[in-house]
Amino acid sequence: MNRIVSDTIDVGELIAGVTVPQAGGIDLFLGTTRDQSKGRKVIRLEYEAYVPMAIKIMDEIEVEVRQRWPVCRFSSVHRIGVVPVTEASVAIAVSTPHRKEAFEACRYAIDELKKRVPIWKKEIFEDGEVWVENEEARIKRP
Amino acid sequence: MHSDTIVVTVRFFASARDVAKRSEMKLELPPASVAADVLERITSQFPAMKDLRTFTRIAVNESYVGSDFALSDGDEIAVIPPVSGG
Repeated sequence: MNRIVSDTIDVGELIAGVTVPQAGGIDLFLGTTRDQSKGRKVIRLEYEAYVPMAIKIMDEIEVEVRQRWPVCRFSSVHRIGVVPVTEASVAIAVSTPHRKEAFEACRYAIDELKKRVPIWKKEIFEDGEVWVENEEARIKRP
Repeated sequence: MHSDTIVVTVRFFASARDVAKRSEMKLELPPASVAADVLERITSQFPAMKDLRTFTRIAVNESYVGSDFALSDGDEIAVIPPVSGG
């Protein structure tokens, strides 16, 4: 299941949701917020999403992951609104029969999320603010 | 509404919303319009959008589309600057 939430991501619940008897490995990725960006001190981070499309693309990524690896369970969550420094803004959990597939599937999912899911981060500094652009998302229109 | 035009809703996000100073607007277009025409129209209305254009993607009804995607009456068009989730 893939969701957008506006408060703390419950990692325990996420792991419980992908825990099944046939899984031999669970890979968990947590993206956390940093207090520095290109040498400037970040005082606050805010995320916004085009929520229905974000969930739709997260679901598409899950389908792609399931086509490539023998996934038991897959779950991803992105947080929006203010995310205090050190807290998780994104979490992805994947369970598979063996660990290799879990690592690969989880990596694919976070890489694709950063390219395609319509979510934006604003970094707020003491003397200004900036919308961040993921390097991998700077895709020229065809 | 005239039958010789279509009306679409354009939604702006992140830096595009800051430039447009609004989160959405209605746009009346000729019937054979495509996604690129929306970018043309909003760039002429909001010249600062020019700086964003190179990497801005367009979604129609919650799916990314190419520049030549044909629009229909009632479509929801999203102006999507490079994303920064994660």
